[in-house]
Formats: sequence, C-alpha cells, structure tokens
Amino acid sequence: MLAVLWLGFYVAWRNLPYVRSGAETVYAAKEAQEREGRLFPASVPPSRRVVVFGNSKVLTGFVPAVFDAAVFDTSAGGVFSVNMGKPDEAHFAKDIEFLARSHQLPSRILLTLPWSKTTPKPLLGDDASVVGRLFPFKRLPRDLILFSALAPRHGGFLNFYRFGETTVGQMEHDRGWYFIEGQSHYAGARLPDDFHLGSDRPNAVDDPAFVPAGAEFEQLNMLAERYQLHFYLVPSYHRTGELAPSPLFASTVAERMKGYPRFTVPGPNYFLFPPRYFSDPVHLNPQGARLYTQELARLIATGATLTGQGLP
Amino acid sequence: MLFNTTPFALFFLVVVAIHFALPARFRGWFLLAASYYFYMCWSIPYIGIIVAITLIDFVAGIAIENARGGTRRAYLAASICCNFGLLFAFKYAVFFTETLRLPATLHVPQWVLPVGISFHTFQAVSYTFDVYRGKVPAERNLGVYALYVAFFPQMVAGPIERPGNLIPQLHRPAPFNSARLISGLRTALWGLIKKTVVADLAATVVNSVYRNPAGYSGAMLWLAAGLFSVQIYCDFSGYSDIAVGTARILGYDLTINFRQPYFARSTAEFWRRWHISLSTWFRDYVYIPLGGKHVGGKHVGGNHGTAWRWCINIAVVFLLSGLWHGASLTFVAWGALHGAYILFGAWTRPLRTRLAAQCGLGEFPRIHAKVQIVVTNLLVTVAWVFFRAPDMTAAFTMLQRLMAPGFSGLAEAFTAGLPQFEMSFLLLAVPAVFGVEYLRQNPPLGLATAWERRGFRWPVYAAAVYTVVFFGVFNRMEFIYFQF
Repeated sequence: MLAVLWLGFYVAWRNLPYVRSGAETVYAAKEAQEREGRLFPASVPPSRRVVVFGNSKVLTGFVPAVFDAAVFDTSAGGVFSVNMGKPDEAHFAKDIEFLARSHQLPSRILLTLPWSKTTPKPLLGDDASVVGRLFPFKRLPRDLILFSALAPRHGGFLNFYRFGETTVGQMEHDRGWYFIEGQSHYAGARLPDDFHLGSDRPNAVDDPAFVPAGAEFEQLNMLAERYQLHFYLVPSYHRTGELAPSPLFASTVAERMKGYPRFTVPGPNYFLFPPRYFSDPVHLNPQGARLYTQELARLIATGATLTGQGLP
Repeated sequence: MLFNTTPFALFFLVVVAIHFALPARFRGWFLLAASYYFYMCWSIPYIGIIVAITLIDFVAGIAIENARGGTRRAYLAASICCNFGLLFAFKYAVFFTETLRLPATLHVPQWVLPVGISFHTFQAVSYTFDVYRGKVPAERNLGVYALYVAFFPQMVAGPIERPGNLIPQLHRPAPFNSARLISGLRTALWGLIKKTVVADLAATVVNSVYRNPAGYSGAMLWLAAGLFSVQIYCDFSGYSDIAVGTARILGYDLTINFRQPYFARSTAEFWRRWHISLSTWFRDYVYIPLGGKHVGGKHVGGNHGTAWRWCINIAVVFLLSGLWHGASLTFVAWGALHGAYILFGAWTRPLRTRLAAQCGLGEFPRIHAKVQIVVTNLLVTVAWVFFRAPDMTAAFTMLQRLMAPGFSGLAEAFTAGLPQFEMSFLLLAVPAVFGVEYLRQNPPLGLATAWERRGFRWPVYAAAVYTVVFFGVFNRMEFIYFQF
C-alpha cells in the first residue's frame, strides 16, 4: 500500500509542476537552466559574466538588469549578470563545479552567505535531504492546500496554474530575479513604516559571518584558483530595527580574508533598509530590490577603485 | 544518535536483523555491544562512566545479598555514594559552587554533561535498593546486568526501568514475533509523529518567543507557554513511545511512561500520569522511606506534627525532582512550584469541594471534571515557564507579561518563526494529536471493532507514515530530556 501511494504521489508531483509554491517552482526552473546550459547567451564571453549566489534574499533582492545598467558606466564593455539565488540554499561549490563542466563559468561571483556556519553535510548527516530524495513529493500536500486556497483569488485553478507557468517564464526573462508576491500579506507588498518583530535586536550588530574555514570555503578557494574566478563577499540586507547598523566596511572580515587574493570584501556585513522596501519581514519588494542592487553595484564599483579588483 | 534520524533507522534495522539471526544465548551480548556503540556515538570516553556504574552496582548487589546486618547497609551506602558522587561531579558540582558562592580558589572542573546520566544513575540505584530490600535477587550475570544499565532504547532518556521488570526479560530473549513487530512499529511511529510533526514545529515558535519575551505581547506569550506544554509532552512522550516501540520489536516490554497527563484533574493526578517512571522512583525511594503520608504510623491530618512532616516530605520530593532535571535555579523553582500546588491542593480540597457544590458543579460531574482539567493545565503551563526559561529573570519577565494578555498581539503568531501554513497546521495538529491519544486510551466501540479489520488498520498506518513524510521536521532537533 505504501508503494502504491508512493507511485501515485510521484505521478501527481511530476505532472503538476506549477502547483508548487512560486519559490519552489523557481528553484526547480533554475536547476533546469543550470543543467541545460541556458544561463548565459553564447555571445557573452566569460569575462563579462557575473553570477550572484545566495538564498531567497538574493533571489528577491538582486535585479540583474539594474546591476548591469549601474556598473556599465564604470566599465568597458559592460557585464551580463545572472541571479542564482535559491530558497534555503547555502552551498554553492557544487553549482560552480557544475557550471564549469557545462562551460557556463562566469569570471566574477558575488556571494552573500556564511559558508562556515553551514558546512555541507554528508548524505546520512542530512535527514531532510534523505527524506527529500526518497520522497521528492514531500511538499505536495502543502503545495496543493496552498494552491487551492490561493486559486480563487487568481481567477480559478486553471488560471492560477498558468500563472505559475508564466512566473517561471518571467523569472527566466529577468535572469533569475523573482519577487515572492505570494508571501506578502501587506497592502501594496510593502510593510508599514513602524513594522517590527519581537525577535528584532535593534541594539545587536550581527557577527561577521565570513570566516575562511570549513569544507565549503576550501572548495570555493580551490575552484577560484583552478578556474581563475574572483569572489566578492557582498552584504546581505535586513530591516531597519532588525539589527543595529553594521560598520561601513567589514574590516574584520576583510582582515580575515587577506591571505586569499581571489576574495574581495567590498563593504559592510549587511545593509539596513526601511520596512517600506520589504514585502514581508525578510524579503525585499521590487522597489527594495532595485535599491539593494544599486547599492551592491556602487560597492563593487568603489571596490574596483580601492582594490583594483573590480569588474572589468 | 537521535531516534528521529537516518543513522538511527539504519542502526536499528541492522540490530534487529542480527539480533534475531543470532542464537538466543548470544543476543544479550550483541545487544550490549550495540548499546555501547549507540552511546559511544555521543562520546567514546564517557562510556567509561556507564562501565563504572555497572561494575560498582554489580559488585554492590552481590555484596549486599551476601552480607548480614549493618554490613548490608554499608554496602548500600557505598553504592549510593559512588552513583550519586559521579552524578554530582558531572552535573551539580559547578551549580553548587556558584550558588553557594564557594571561594574561587576551590577549582571545580567543568565537564560536559554525559548524555542521560540522571536516567541510568537512577536506574542503577533502584537495583541496589531493591536488592537491599530483598525485592529482587542480586544479578550474577555481568552481561545481563550491564545490559540492564545500558539497554539502548531507554538508556539516555528513560523510561527508568526497575530491575524486577527488565532483568527477568533480559534472561529470556523473546523469539521474533510479527505481532510484536507491528505493535512496536505502531508505537514508535506514533512517537515519531509527536516528535517530528508537532514538537519540533512548536519548538520554532517557542524558541523564538523565549529568546526575547519582552518583545512579544501577553497573548503571544500565552500561546508560546501553551505551545511549550505541547512541545515538551510531544517531545518526551514521543521519545518514550519510540523507546517502548523499539524495545518491543526486540522482544522486551518497557514501562509505560505517560498516561495522558494533560487530562489530569489535579496536579497530584498529573504526577501519576507524567514521567511515571521518575515519579514512582521518587515515591518508592524517597517519599515512602521519608514516611510518605503516614508519617510516624499516623495518617496526615491526625495532628499538626504529622501534617508538617508530610509537607516537608512533599517539599523534599519535589525539590529533588526539580534538581534532578537540571542544575539550575529555574528547575528548582519548577519543582518547588509543583510541590506548592500539591500542598495547596490538599489544603484547599474541602473548601473547593464546598465551592463546587455551591456553584452547582456537583450536579454536573462531567463539566466539573472539565473545569478541573482546564485549571490543572493552566497551573502546569505556568510552571513550565520556569522549566523553559533560560534564567529566573527571563521567567519572571515572562510571568509578568502573561498577566496582561489581551488578544491584539495574536497576529504575531504568524511572524514568530513559522510560515503561515506551518503555523496554521500546528494549531490544527495539536488538538488532533490529543484527540488521537484520547481515542487510543478510550476507543469507542465502533472504532475498536473497525480496528480489528485490516482494511481499516492499514490505511491508517499508511496515513501515519505519510504524515511524518509530508509534515515532519527533519533538522535533528535533540529531545529535550537528553540534557538530563
């Protein structure tokens, strides 16, 4: 009986890809893009390619078109960036290896996540991953319930299903940027100005997360050397009041990274933006995403002047 | 190795397969080796403590049985001193040094607390006590005794077994039995549901609120306090169910540790249903030796002197129970509060009976019972605040803010660490779990008859398995009671 049910769930899951949450559909679509070698047009040489890796904050916060436009003036030839932020993802070495194998490597990579805090686990050390592999349809009931709840607000089941399909198309058009609209419960996808949470720590500066240690870092460093990549450890973002402001330059982190010439630390540990730029307590809305991307571009451009390691 | 992880599932599969493939005379030794391996997955050096406790009490048991008169008592005292000495050194030395503000020159090493030390120490002590009292014979087979102390399903978080229950079973390994397999799997699966689907989900909200109680509204703190009641029950009883289920598959029956404690009508009844193996341990080895309720041969209520002695007995038992849980003032306060509940309950019983009669509740015993259940749960939930809070200041902050609840802050529930779907699911899963628990204990006739049919039973099993798959949290959250 368990096997028959497994088969039934699997068939349903395979055949209904767009009932999944937007973020999950986007994750699957990005994996497919990577697999099929569709990240960069063939006309864009590796020297102009930029990839930003990260979790859902990057997914919703980095707009490639805005970044390209912002850094174009400071460089010759411009860049072509791709947002590879994926929900709940913290390890990128395997993605970079994959890009190398499929001849899609960029020359510059922007990272936001603290790899040393999230060392990749062996398969048996990661139960969620084991369950996910044994039961790829694990989230199917959750997705179906949410889909059924949201469908009436989106013109019915069929329209909502098509909307999922369109979302993926839009995400691919926007080179990986995706606004998680479904997660926002606030008018105009904008938090009120006085928004705060009980878990906020407005007097605490978050500990600098980048430490050159751990299996993931060793792997990234090795890949940087082997493929002549350059990594930028760029700031993530939080709401104003969620944490105390970070110092303008993450000098502690930069100090730690001194022995690694292929890694540049161009700015603070994180940016703070007012709540109105957020669509939910964690993620930026489109307006916030543009602001964050412009800030990153500004940092990279300044970094180019400061360190001579900026974008071409 | 946690029960709710892939390595344990693989370990258990291998153990079951080899266990039943071996001739009966080797099974005990194999289970002992497996149990030591299981413990060494946490710490290799600390297996030395298990071996030390085993050897001390094995020798003490035989010595007590062979000795006469005062020598028996001396052996018992020596065994207890060794057991509690180890427990004190590892668990309480730093706490007492800091609390009593002993001079800094008195250097007390801060060791990592061995997993489950309170459980196997108490289990070992119950053996020497029972041999001393002549309730069980001293065990002459070191392998059997070592397995009694270290049997892996229950060695790190109970149930605290008595020698009279477990040792005879260890002498007669049961053959493979498919009915026991199914029953064991069913019990373990239910434990897994409680742990992964409810407790670990509730933990996210509880942790988020307890990290900063001052940042949340009173209503939200009530929700977190209530969810912690649910979390600790589902976590600990979930662990106990997995322990009982896995042991049953291997052919051994462990003590039932919980009997729907949140359906208790008084705190005294709560303690007859919650962590039964610990509360009966304190009853048999502390409370009754102190005189229990019949102090000096007289029942409480006979005169003021005996009543005071009984109060002191209750206070001692509950303070020790609090201290057993952890070397912290919050646990002592939690134990003291429960002791106070019991004493206050006994003191006000005639008054409450009169009050209930005047309110007319005596005419409606079912409504009266429900009122009592609600009040008991409120008292228990408030006490859990001390158990969960990181320190006394946080506990008092929490209690202070609980006094001004209001409902305006309840919307925060959906931003307290869990996405909206998971939070809604949790709020539905909690009554569902308690409903199933109730039905398991009190099945209506129709359900009991339907349960006899495979066509009803197997879909329920399949639904249970997929409930874990679909809604379980698999991020290796430790069981709360492992810290004790």
